Amino acid sequence: MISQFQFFPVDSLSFIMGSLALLLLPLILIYSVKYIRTHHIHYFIPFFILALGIIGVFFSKDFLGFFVFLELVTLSSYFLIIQPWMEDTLAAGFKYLIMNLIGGVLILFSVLILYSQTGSFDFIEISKLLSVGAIGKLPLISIAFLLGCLIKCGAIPFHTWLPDAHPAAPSPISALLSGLVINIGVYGILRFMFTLKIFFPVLVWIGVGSMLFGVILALRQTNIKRLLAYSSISQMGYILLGIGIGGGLGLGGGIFHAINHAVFKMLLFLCAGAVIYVTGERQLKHLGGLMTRMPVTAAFFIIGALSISGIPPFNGFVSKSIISAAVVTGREPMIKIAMILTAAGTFALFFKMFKQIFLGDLSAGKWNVKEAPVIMLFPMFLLASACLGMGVMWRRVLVVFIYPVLGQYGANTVLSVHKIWSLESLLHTLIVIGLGLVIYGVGMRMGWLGSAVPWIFSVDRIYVSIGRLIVMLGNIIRDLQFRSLNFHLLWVFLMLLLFYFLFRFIA
Amino acid sequence: MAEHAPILIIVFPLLAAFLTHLTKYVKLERGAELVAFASMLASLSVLVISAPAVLAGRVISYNIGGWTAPLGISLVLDGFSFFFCIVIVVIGLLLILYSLGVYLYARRYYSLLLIALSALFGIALTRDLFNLYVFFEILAVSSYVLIAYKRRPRTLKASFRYLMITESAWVFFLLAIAMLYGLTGTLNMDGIAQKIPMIYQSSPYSLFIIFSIMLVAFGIKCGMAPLHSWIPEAHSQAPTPVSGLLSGLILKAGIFAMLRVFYLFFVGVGPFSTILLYVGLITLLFGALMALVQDELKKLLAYSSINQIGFILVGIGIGTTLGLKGALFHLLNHAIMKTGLFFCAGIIISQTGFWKIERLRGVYKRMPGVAISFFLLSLAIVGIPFFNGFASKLLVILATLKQMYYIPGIILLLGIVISAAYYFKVLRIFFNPEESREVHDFVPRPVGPFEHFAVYLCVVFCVVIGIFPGIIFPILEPAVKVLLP
Repeated sequence: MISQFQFFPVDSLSFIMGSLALLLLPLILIYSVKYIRTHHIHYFIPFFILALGIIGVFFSKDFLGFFVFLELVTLSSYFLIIQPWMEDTLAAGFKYLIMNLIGGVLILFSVLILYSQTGSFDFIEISKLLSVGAIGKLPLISIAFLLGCLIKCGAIPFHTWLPDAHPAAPSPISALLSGLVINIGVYGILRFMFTLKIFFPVLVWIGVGSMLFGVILALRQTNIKRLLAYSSISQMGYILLGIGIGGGLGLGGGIFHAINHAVFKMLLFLCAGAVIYVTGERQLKHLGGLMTRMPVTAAFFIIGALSISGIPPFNGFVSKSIISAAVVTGREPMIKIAMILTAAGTFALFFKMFKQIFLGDLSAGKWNVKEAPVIMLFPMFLLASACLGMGVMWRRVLVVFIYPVLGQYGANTVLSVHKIWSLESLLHTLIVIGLGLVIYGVGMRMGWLGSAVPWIFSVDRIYVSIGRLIVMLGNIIRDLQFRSLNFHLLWVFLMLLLFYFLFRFIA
Repeated sequence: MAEHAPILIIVFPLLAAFLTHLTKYVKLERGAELVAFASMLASLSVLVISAPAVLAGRVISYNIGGWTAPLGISLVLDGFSFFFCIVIVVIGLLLILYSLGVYLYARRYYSLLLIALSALFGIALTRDLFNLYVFFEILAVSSYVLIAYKRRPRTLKASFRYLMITESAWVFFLLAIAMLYGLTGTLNMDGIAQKIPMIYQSSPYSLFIIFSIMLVAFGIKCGMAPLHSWIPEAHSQAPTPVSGLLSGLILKAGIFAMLRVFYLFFVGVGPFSTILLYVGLITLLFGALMALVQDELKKLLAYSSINQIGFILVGIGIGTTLGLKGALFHLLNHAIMKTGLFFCAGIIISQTGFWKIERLRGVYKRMPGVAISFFLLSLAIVGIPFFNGFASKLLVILATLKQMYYIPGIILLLGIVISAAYYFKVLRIFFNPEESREVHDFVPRPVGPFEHFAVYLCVVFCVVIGIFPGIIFPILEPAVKVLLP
């Protein structure tokens, strides 16, 4: 079936990512029509440029096009993040821009070395040369590219732009960032990294770290969107873990989870957006009791939450089981434990979120809250049905979308043999739910969840300090300069002497 | 006509410089402006007429007064000088266009501006070393007066500083010319170039002296890092179009002369390019770090010029065809972008009266067109795809990496990130919703359509060249071919 689509510029990987983007972008657009109430020009012009950039990234057939559209995505999403144009959103946007530019610049660095080695930017040509092993400086190229992609996909410890940018942006844009923009990093890794088996252990451990730390940090958040942002980091960890394990199961699970994550995280962000739209409130403690007022949103939220926690029969369950099966074949008990803990943490996280938003008493001043408008519910409905549909018809999704990609990478497609609906996986689910409830109960009792106690160790602080250090260096250099004209006249003469001796010395 | 092209290009603005004063006696409104504009168009048309021959690789040489090379002064229009002449014409027209809207500038201003432009043409075209020196001095004298045009204490001080620092290097340049004349017996550059290998055999140390003097003299004009100290003051104190002239053309004249002289004289003699590469990297990092901590808008732009000059120097230092192509391309791009940015800064400052970046909150709300132009031009200068800065920076970085200079490549990319940081720092303040409500006694100067038009023209250039970088290559390739045949 996929062979019909060969007129797409590249291959099946571009096809699935690109079609995902083309399917999800209109939904966000529909949602935005109602959600964005002011400054339409400031919103919709960057939005369409962002859409162009995302589609361009997935459908470009060489590395230069990939880079160019990536920068377009970075820049246009900067404008969407700073959307209300307030002091704090401008600050978040600044951090987003600088970190992503560093990522982009690293990618450019590796792409240009690749070009100077091979004389080509083309994906297919380069992958041919890679398989022959005819490219020099490969470690340098691939480390730079991997680092760039990890920054772009918000993996720990390069995640710090993500929890700032997502809450700052309007909700549909947070959904887009989480669903599609950070998938670009994954796409880049898949494009380039797959032939480089040396980096797979690194990817595995970065994935495990992102999973665990993402969910731990998410549990502590009180802002709805910040919480979802950290949970995105955690889910990115699953995807990286799957890719890192490799093989048919790992890669297939990783790609499947990337698609699923795009769907359910978008759904969750749109639900959060609906809540914010009607209440104007982002803090969990100011929300509550919306179940009766917004039943449809609550239902969609439950679907999204169950999907992300990996509860059957939704799509998250399928991809997580595939990744977990890949881990079993890899026989790594530590990773297995980390996966169970993360799943339990995610369940606890969304249990907490659901309880605090939709259950309990309606908070003061929210008496006139109504259900979100239909035009906003419609995209959410489609996403929720996609969660269910992809979970139930997972075999079909695998055959149509994932197998061609696996075939392209030469991985064996043993996924159909694997039984998703086994007793073991159901037991696994029960463990996750039980453990999740325990974590929630203990965490609430001990006050771990939702405490604003600052962490002593923070990666963000390191990056900010590096930035401050650079500015401080500038200040030092500025203060070192002499103001006196006499000195400068002497300096000219000294430079003459310096250059003279330099030439004498070298020549 | 084509064989007289070199002299005509110089003479038109020079003649117009004197004609502007005579417009006093003609009953013609804004005669000086018209004369200025017409002379640049005349030079442009001469360039266009001679373009087919020059771009095909022909060299148009002209001996002043009919005296041939060893004795007389010869002017040569080849691909490289043609490229620089185009830069001068484009920026010159933009500068005059911007100045048209500002009634403050009288005949004297246009006269000086035209003298400066004609001196720039002279620098581009001359093949006589002493003549080069003379043209540089004409350029310097006219720009001293232009910087101090408003005659305020700070501008006079900046102008004096510029005078003292650059002249201290250029008196040595005269010494270098004398030494070369003593060694070779000619002042014609081609003549000297032929005898350089011989001198290198007989007396290499005198050649080192000459070379270091030339490096310092041209370096001080183009803002090479440890010799940049005149730039920030002069750029920030000068009237806006003059800042554009300084950043867009005078710095570039230093680079042009450096390329011309070094590629004629010193290719293959000593490791000159490697030194230039590292000096360029220092310039780049220095400019970037200093721009990061500036609190005045125009000073930030001045340091950003130093940053971009570093990029150009690195491209020259690489010394390959690709590197030179990138460097020259960036020279053109930077001239346009930085002139446009100075125009934006000029409009913003003349409307708000604030020089400090911190006080320019909410500029976007007040002047959306100018703020958006500033934004687009700064994207171009940072090197974001779809703008011209990206194309030229890509060439320079690619050239660096092709020569296996990986650490310099990373520093270049770091320069891009830092430049993004300081431009977006400014934009963060421009886009801030709260306008600064500071009260001070300042009467905003009315800004007419000409200023805005000049800014928008710069933006259009940036975007068009960025999307179709190929349109520059017909004039870029002959230029590089002259340097590296």
